[in-house]
Amino acid sequence: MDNEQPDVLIIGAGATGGAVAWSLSQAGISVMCLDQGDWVKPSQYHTNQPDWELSRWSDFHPDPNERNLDVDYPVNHTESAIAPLMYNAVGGSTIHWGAHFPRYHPSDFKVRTLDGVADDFPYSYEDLVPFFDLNDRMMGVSGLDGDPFYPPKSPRPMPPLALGKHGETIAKGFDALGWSWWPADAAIATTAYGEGRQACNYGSSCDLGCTTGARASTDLVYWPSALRAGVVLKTRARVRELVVGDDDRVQAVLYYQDGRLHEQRARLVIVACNGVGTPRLLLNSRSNRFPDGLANRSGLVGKNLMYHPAAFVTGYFDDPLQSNYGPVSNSVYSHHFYETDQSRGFVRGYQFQVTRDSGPLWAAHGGTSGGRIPWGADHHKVFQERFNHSLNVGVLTEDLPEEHNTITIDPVLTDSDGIPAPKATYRVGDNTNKMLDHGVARATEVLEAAGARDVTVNRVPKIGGWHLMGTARTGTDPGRSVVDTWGRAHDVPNLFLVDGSVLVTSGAVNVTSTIQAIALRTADYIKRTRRQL
Amino acid sequence: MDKFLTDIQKAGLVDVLDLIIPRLGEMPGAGQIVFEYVEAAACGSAATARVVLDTLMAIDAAAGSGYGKPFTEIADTEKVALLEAVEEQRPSLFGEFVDLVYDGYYTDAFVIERLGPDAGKPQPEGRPIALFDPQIVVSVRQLGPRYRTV
Repeated sequence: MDNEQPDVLIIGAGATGGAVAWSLSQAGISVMCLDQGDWVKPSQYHTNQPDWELSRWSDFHPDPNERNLDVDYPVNHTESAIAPLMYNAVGGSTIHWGAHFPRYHPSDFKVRTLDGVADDFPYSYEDLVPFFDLNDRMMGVSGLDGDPFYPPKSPRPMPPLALGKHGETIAKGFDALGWSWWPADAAIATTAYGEGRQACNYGSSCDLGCTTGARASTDLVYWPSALRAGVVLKTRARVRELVVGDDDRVQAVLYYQDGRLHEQRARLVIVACNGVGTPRLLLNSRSNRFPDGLANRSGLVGKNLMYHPAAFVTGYFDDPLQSNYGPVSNSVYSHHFYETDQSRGFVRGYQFQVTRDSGPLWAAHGGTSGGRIPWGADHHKVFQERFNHSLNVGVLTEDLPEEHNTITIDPVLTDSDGIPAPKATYRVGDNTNKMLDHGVARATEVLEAAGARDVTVNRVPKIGGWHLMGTARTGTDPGRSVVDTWGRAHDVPNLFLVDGSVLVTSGAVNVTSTIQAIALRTADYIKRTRRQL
Repeated sequence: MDKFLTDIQKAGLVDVLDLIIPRLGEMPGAGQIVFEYVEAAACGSAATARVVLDTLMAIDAAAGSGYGKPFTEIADTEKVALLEAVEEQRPSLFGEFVDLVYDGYYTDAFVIERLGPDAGKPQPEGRPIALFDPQIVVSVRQLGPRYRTV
């Protein structure tokens, strides 16, 4: 058994675990963090190597089942329309993310009140604004002031990314239709920023890692400062279960490292393992006190899995668009159809996220269209028509919580330490399908208005579970939620959850900005009330 | 893979690769470019070797049953139709094989050079792009706020 007993033990060193570790460490709280992954240095990224694109289908594949690194755990997604995607490392999925950085809208916190569906959050957009702002400064956000889709935000820390011919082309389409759009907020530096981060050089393919450090990831942003403040970070430390005492408090964490089982005690435990890993850990932590899994007296741990089902609507243009100039996930976005309009036949709405392309291999495999370029006599002709001539409008829908969409424990599958693996069960809801119909039609419209000669639709691609949400939801009623307004488990007073699992509803935007803000709010609460916890 | 592929199979593989991605102008055919890649990938992975061997066997079987001779001996115009028939009968297998061919072709330095600078590795040079021009948002600013007041 390890003798150290930190005040706080964090499980997971990713987007939220890193932010919380940093925040607590600045207040002099002793923190230890365990992560099953390891450090990934920018020098390990492939984008400056000749065969760089192959990494997208090997060690940088977003699906851990395909990547199959020793630090990964498998996920049974045979009964899920969408595969959960993640990266296991210090920095978590910010290692391979696109750094598109919109916030939840004010309405996203009040969907029950406004639209009569799902549930409200027990806090508001305004409650999170100080933490959004803090996180924007830490992550280093570039953007343009005056975003029409939000109440006025604090000045963006850096100027917006260049749009290039690609972004300017779709902007003309939006303008022609009179639909609002805006340059995306991005956690990508456009000037030198922070600790050695260079300005983006528009090399694209952020999903394969950023060698310049322009794209924020928490291993670069939060962890250096947290470590200097004394946080102890143990890598390749895979947690098996949390052990509780008769007082329902977590007493210890059992984890594997170097092939041995270790026990680590702490006064307070924070779980930050994402919307799949967190319910997996809680459901694997069964005991006499919690026979259905830790903190699961509501029965809601693992339920209400949400993903943001998407459609990629890709237009091909006669003129070259420099489609692979610039960060892949950040061009312009539109929330023109974000809010409920009952005349559309569905509630809530969706985001258009315009994305850029990658290299020639990505194009040959079909890119966002999902359809491989044909082999044979026409191969070169079609390749030339598509490579750097494409423009994708992603339709990212709000995914309403439904209890039949779940993370459970697979009865057979395990990771390399023998820990039972998760199983995802998920189907796309009726409301979402109507939303996708509407979004695909509107995306086609804007692409045609921008001059596309041909449009393809890739609806709900299996490799689309970028955002893992809702499986340990927040609320004030212990019978209808897993954690309280501060992320503290209703059933376990010294256990906090801070990742996407706590989200009550999904919004229709990429979630990292919001879950980091929520995590920093939880950290702030812990700092204020540490004597009572 | 040497021990698995006969000389006839090797010749057949080159033929097939050149039909998947034919030579056109400055762009080489895949037979010249990808053969070594496919061979190395098959030697490094039993699953990849299976894809290559099964594809070649399916092609040979189709050639035997349809034309009564090896694939390499049938007319070029008939070879394409034969591959299309194999693709229709074994879409998953044939798709994996085509993916493998594309992997080798579009990561080959000679091919990348022919495709031009936009096809090259993105780092460390990055891509040249004009800075953001604020004039582009003049119209959309005039549309005003578009968020729901709570």
